[in-house]
Amino acid sequence: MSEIGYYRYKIKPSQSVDVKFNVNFQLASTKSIVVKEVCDGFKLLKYIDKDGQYRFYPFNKYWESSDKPKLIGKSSKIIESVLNAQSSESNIGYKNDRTVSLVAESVGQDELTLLSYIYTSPRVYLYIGTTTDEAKDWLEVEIKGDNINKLRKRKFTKVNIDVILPEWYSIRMM
Amino acid sequence: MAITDISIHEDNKVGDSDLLAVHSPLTFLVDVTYTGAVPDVLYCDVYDEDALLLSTFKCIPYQDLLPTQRRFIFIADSIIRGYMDSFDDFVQSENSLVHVDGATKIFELKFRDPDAGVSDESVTFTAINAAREFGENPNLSEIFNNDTQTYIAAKDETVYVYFYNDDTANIITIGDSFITKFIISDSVGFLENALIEISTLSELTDVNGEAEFTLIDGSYSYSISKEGYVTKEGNFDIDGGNLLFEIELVSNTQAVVTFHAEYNSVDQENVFIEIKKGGVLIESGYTDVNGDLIKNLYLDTYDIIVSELYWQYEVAPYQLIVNTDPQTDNLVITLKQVYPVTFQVRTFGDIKLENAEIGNQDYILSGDPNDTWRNQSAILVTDVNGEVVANDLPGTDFIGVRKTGYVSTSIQITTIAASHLQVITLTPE
Repeated sequence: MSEIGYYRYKIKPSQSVDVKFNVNFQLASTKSIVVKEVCDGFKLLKYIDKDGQYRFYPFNKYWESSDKPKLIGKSSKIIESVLNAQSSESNIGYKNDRTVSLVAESVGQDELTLLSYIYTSPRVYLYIGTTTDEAKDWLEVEIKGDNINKLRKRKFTKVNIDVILPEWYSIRMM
Repeated sequence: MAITDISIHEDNKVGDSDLLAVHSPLTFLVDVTYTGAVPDVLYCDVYDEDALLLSTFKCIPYQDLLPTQRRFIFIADSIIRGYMDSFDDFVQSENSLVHVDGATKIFELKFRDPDAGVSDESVTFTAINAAREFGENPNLSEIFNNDTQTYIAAKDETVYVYFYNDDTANIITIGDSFITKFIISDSVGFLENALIEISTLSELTDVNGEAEFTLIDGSYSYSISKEGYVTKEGNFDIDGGNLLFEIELVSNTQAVVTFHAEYNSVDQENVFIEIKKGGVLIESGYTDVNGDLIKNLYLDTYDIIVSELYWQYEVAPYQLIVNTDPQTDNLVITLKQVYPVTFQVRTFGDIKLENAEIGNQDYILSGDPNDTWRNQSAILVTDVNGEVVANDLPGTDFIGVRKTGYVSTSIQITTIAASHLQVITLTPE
């Protein structure tokens, strides 16, 4: 007995491979996995496509991180001694928006279509783990891109995506 | 106002797929026929897959078709989306196949008259967290039919591969499949239309008794049945290769078989018949005064051995195919080849002895005329030339020779498959 709906098979392929699904012990469907070679330091994003399926895409190791710290505010403080006091204000703290800029190279035309669903995915996750694949290894993020759909569909193209991480916690007065 | 009929004009179903995307516009159109005042209300009850009522909504009047018919519209997508699960992912172990709870859900929409004057009309569909884009197949049939899809993965990193199941009776597995072939026969030949069942699969054998299954690695049980035969069951394992099974079914239908022994229009009584299969004795018995032996036998092939006929008759062992009811088997009786043996009885001086009597070795003492030599019907008596000719089978045994005035003697002789002269010398008393 089974349930109606999606069945999901999880695999870590070392090379491109076909996955064969059998219904009642007879071949029903063959799905293809295209494996992309990646170098150390690559980034991996997980997102939902328009059919409700979670998909993965690797980005190369030449990513860039940028911080945009923002002062939360200042509070006043009483100067108790003119000899050692330097300021009548103290910083409350900073909040930081960290953005990681990712690059996917040699994206084929079919891959471009699959990757484009990342912009309308309600959930996008960035892999922050090392070897495990648990809930703690995936960070939900926002993305913004360079308007992928405006790029001419060439045989292979490069896609840039900016990933905005959740608020960066920092020490603050309150 | 009274509603006389409710019919669903648009249920969004096309072909064999009932998969409806709830992240695209999704509306249902329902036509209501009425008498009297035009109805302003039509209810839509939304049930989940456990037949639990989730909520009741009012359908919106959409279009007046006829003076007695109004069309209502139910905008379902935003409502159904509210009942779908969140999109959060879940942890799954590697190389496992699991059902994705929440990606799809079954709903029933029941359109009913507020006054319950007529029967409800309902539609059941599978809602999916998907968005159908313009120009795409309606009902997301490419997902429903599992048309080939490609997935991108980083080397040695996680990827999910999806398969859509549309029937709770299905058993879903992953892996390569192999051919398992059955060849079914009975004792006569190949069996057509034998039913072979493996799990939920079944096939009928063709005219050559053959049927094939495509199966993945694993352990299986089979059952082979056909009317008139004992059902055969068994188990087998598939481990990375094709298999072939040649199986013979045993009949469970009996026939009345009459074995008849007759030679030159004379029925042969007391002929012993043995019926064997695979060296095992199944039945045996003697023919009656009419030369008949009657037995009930299953439709099958048997080995028949006949013995205790008249000494000069023989029946070669043969195979009998029992395939009709009733059936008569006429034994093929042939004559054995006999050869003339000339007995010459003499005494010293080469004197031929007339009226010398020849029987078996007991005859010397018994003088019983029934103690004949071999298959002879009477005691042999030499003629004036001291000779007597007897036709008999080749063999080795003892004869007994006696004549008044001479010492009786018993000697061993060997006769051959040819004319033969046997000289016996008696000593005077």
